[in-house]
Amino acid sequence: MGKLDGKVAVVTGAGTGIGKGIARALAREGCTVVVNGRNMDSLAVTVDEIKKSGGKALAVTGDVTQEAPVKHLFEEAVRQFKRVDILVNNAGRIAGGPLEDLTLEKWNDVMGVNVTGVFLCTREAFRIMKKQGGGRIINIGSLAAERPREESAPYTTSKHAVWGLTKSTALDGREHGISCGQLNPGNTAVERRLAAGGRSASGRDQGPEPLISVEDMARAALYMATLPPDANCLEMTVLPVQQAYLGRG
Amino acid sequence: MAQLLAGKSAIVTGGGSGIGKAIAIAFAAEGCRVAVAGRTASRLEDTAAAIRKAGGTCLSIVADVTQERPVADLFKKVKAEFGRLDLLVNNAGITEGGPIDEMSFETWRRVVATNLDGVFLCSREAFRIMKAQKGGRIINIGSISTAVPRPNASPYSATKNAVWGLTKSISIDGRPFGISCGQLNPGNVQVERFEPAFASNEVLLRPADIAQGAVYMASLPADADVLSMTVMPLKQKFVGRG
Repeated sequence: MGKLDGKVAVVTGAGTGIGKGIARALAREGCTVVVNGRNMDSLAVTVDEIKKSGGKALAVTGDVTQEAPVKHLFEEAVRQFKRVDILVNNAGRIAGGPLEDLTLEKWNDVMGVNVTGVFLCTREAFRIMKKQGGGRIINIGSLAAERPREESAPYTTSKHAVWGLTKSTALDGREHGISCGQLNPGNTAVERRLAAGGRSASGRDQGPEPLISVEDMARAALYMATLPPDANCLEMTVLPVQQAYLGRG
Repeated sequence: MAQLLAGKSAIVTGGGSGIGKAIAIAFAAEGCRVAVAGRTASRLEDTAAAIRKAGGTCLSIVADVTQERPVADLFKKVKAEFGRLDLLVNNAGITEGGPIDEMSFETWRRVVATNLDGVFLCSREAFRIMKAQKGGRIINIGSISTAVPRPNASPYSATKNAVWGLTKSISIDGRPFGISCGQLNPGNVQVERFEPAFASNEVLLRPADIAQGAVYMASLPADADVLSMTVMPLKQKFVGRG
């Protein structure tokens, strides 16, 4: 018996990285998972892996920055599985650079995925969850929701905005039984990060950095998702012990 | 299923009731040997009995966390008994409050002694053991008062904010030695002790749900840390302005 038997989740950006790890962790506990992303090939791999270990999953491609595909994503989830209990807003864009060199395109690209995408998915989920009488939204933030790296203005600004949206969603959802919390991961061993030898892409390169595993990060989201409906994990910050974060610098 | 804390040992202060008791029981259920410390022997024995009944290992040690000597003795005993100390949960805390103009210095001192001095004294002893054994984890139980106070709770809010400073200091000072430190901030939880500050209609969480958060923190590999976690009732008034 799984802790999430009978539940339905939508996970964005689930073709790779933390999103894929969370989708797999939720499915392991009996949750039906609708995985979203732009690339069907990588989504198909996530679905395949979940099905091979006995779980239920469906891939729906779609750009979270656009209204129509987001509507379609949630319509598909409800059409196939009748409900949405959990939304994990994980899709994110990482980009940085010296402030004076940032193009508007880069800025808008990051804000589009990291902020507008979270809003659009949250709005659709909220509509469904309100009717159902409850649900849970988990936003993937970042250490950058609290403190910036050097040369990370778009990413840092977007993750600060997500924290504002997390709190607004939690407040507005309260009377409808909709909870909202934010998981802030530090350096995590996602495919992109491993390929870059542990180097960051969201700010100035500081060489290889310590990483923690996707599986350990996914267990944090699982704890948040498995709380009883009357409990909310508002925020959680998980990072490598050796990551340079807490001190001044 | 494999136990998440097999082979580890832990001290949980304030382990005779409430969140501390739930954490001690949850750790033991995951294979951790647990020492519960507190002021009231009978309550500690209740926790120990519950753990032993379920097949776990538990020591109950009476100790006042506000005093140097008993804290040193506590850690010495646990080290002697378990051989090492992987986890310290600084949970002991008190919640006295009242209007600031009516508060006695004794009340203030009592709260500071347990909620802040106690965390320092226990962390210092744990740090010494963990530094020598090259690693360990300290989990401080804070409060959502760390971010936003209740009215008439000045000593409580002040000490819980101070604990957050201590959490970050231990974390940064522990980094070279593989000692991690994180803080779990619970909202309203259904505990046995009288909570005069709580309005009677406030919603409450179960200690066991908070304890699962602590289990996640404790079960991470040595190179990963949950720096902070906030768990509260969905309906608790906290996020908005007020």
